[in-house]
Amino acid sequence: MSSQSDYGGREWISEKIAQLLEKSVLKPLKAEKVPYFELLSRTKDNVFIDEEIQVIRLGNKKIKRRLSNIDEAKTFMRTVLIAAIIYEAIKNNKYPTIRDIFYDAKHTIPGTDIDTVDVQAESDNIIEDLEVMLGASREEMGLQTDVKCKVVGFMRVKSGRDIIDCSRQGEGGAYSPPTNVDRLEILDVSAEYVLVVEKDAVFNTLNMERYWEKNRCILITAGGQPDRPARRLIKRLNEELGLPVYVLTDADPYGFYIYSVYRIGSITLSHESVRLACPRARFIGVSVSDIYEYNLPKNVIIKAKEADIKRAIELKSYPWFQSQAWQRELDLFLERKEKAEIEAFSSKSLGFLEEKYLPEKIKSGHYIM
Amino acid sequence: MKGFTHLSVSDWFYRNRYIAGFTNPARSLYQAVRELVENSLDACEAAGNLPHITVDLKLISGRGAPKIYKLTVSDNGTGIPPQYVPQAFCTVLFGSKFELKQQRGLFGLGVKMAVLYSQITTGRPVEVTTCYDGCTEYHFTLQMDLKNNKPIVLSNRAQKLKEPRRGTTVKICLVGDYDRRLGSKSTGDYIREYLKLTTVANPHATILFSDPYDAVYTFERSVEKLPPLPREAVPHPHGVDVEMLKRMIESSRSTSLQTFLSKNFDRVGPKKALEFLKWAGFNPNKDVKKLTADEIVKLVNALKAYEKFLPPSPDVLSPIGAEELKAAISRLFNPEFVKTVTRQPKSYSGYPFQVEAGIAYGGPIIEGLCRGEGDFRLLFRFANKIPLLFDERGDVCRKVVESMDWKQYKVDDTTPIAIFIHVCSTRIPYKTAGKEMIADVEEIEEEIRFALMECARELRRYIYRKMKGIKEEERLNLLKAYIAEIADNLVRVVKEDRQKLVELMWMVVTKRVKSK
Repeated sequence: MSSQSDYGGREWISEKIAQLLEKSVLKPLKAEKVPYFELLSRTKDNVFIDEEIQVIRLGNKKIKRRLSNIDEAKTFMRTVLIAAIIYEAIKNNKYPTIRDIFYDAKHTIPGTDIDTVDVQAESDNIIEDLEVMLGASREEMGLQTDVKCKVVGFMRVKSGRDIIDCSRQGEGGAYSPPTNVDRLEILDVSAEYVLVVEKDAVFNTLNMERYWEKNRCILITAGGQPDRPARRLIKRLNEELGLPVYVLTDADPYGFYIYSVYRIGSITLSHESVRLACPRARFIGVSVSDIYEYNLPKNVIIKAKEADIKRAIELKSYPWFQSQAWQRELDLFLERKEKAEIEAFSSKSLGFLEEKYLPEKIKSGHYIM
Repeated sequence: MKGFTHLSVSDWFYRNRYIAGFTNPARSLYQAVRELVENSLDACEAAGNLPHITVDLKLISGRGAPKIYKLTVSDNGTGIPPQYVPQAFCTVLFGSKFELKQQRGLFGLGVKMAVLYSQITTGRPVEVTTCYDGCTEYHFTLQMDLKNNKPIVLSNRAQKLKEPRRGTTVKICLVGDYDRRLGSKSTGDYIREYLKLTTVANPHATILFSDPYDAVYTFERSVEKLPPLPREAVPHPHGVDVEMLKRMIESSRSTSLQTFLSKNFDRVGPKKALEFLKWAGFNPNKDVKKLTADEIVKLVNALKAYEKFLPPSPDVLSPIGAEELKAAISRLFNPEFVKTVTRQPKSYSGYPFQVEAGIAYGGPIIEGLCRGEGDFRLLFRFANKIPLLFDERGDVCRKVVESMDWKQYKVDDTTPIAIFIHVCSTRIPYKTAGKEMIADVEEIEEEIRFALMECARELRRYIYRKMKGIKEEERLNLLKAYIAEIADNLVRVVKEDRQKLVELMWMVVTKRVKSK
């Protein structure tokens, strides 16, 4: 496992970069042929659900980025540029953030008024291309990202030379793991399940209430769209330690989608799903039916927006939302056109979420997948 | 026309000088140049010589009005047999006979109108120097006896030439105004434009012009080949009128109707004549001289109505030729692109006609001219190889140009193009007596449109390719920049020569472009 590997061990990646440039650029050039990069397409039409491991996988459709095609040439140029930056970072033992990479790459091409990259999304996208072509994750490349993931609970980890106790983070404090969660050594865990909370605010409330202590669980959030460290950590806790994972989101299609990212992965990162997706993650709520089963008052129920309806219709067609339970939930949503936030339970009474709703649902096994 | 000979010629002239173009001193000067030059062109073509015409215009009495100019036009044409010279220049309507031919001159009067105008305004004689046989040059000074329409020979001398040559030089003095403005241009501008455009419509002609300020303008020929002479045609049955038929009968011998028709009409043989006469209810054996006035009218109407006559013979026409027109436009306007076309001959009302067109695009000359035109498309019109410079707005050519959907051809208001349209016919249907406006004859309009569309389609291809070429250039510039950037970064990783990589990349991307 790469979590055991020393951080100096990135040479295999720099070698792969040199091989990639040799094979895709120099070799064709010496044969007087147009060089191109070829990689698996990361688009909706080239992903499938791997039935065996229940995650999104990339198909076999390949795309080319040719030097001769004016639209592809710009991407070709960015690929070489960013490959060179990463190559040198590894050689010089540097750990740049992906934002550093963006700034390092960004300059005006001499003799033109064109910038190599305009926005960070462009360099981020190239980094993902390189992950696909090199078969190495950006974490393995040593690239750093802003980590939104926070964790708290009875768990001790070893990071570098330090041992961190995730239950001793102070009032409302939480541990933020490093970009490359694989470099963490999980020493011991004393918990019965993992509760993943979509929203940072709800995480903070539960943490202040020491929900994790009362319920013997590990509490994790990634503050909205999950980042890679959160997903990787959850997967490890699920697969290495056998802890069940529950995901708590708002009762709306956006929340359901976030759950699906934790569970089976996302299209754009489908090349990393095997490493990041957690197919056994369970959706604890808030479900659409919860809104009515728990009799949430009318004034906390929100009318669905046009975008929510559209999204729900999309989700209904995704292969990973085809279970009876999910189809029922989505149908109900499309029928009632209503949604609710996690915090809506506070309208019943403060503490209802952590004292009644969550323990009840987990105890009764009332989750959906 | 014979009726006019009973009038005093000067009366006739006064009554008709407007339609002949001799209105005011400025326009008259322009018209005199035209008449002499066209006369010379006809003489050169008849002689089978490539025209070399010199036009010299000098102010000889300029203080106060009126300004008197001396106009000298020389050619290398046939020359004129000495015995005919006095009548050729001084008897109006001399030699003009009933004929149907693609011809330049107005009314077949040509040079005589200019001489007449000269005499009326200055009283000075016309001087003619001509050599017909190549070895003796005759020099005449002549005046018109206006009352009797006869020449007065003031002097006449002959001179043996050491070097054989042919041709004629005519000198007249006339009241004119070279500097007066007619609209946005001066008379001088019009004269120069007329001469220049004459060499567009007559690419085989060279014209030299020395103006009153001693500036010399040279319009060189663009081709070295003479066009075939237009053949004189007999009238087509659809194009006949009562007066014409009467005169044809008068000048004919006594003969049967069938023979008369088959001998005097275009595309009518004995069989066709018989067929027609039966259809029209005439006895084919009737003596043509015995037709009553009513019968003549009936015959004319029947000739016009009969649909089975073949269209008029096109071989009486003499177009400029697409290649020749192109050569002339290229030489005089030096455009970036030019497309010319000669359409097949067609006919209207019994008269054959043929349309030629050209579109020239770009180049500094046309760009400059277009700036002056504003939103009005630059149009050059020609009828029977004569440039038409006046009354453009009422002309069918302008009408067609304005009605075309130019956007479809990638031409917008700022696209620098010049349009050339030539109509030749045994009878150009002029709209007015001024003979500067071609009428909206449906058949001609359609041919003009087709000719322009043909040129415009080619132009669109050119503009499209040009635009694509510019895009291609942008593309290559961009690729060049990317390649430099790629090479800079490749050498950070691999041990290769940067310059060699740049060259290889450039080679493979440009090779690909070429093979496309």
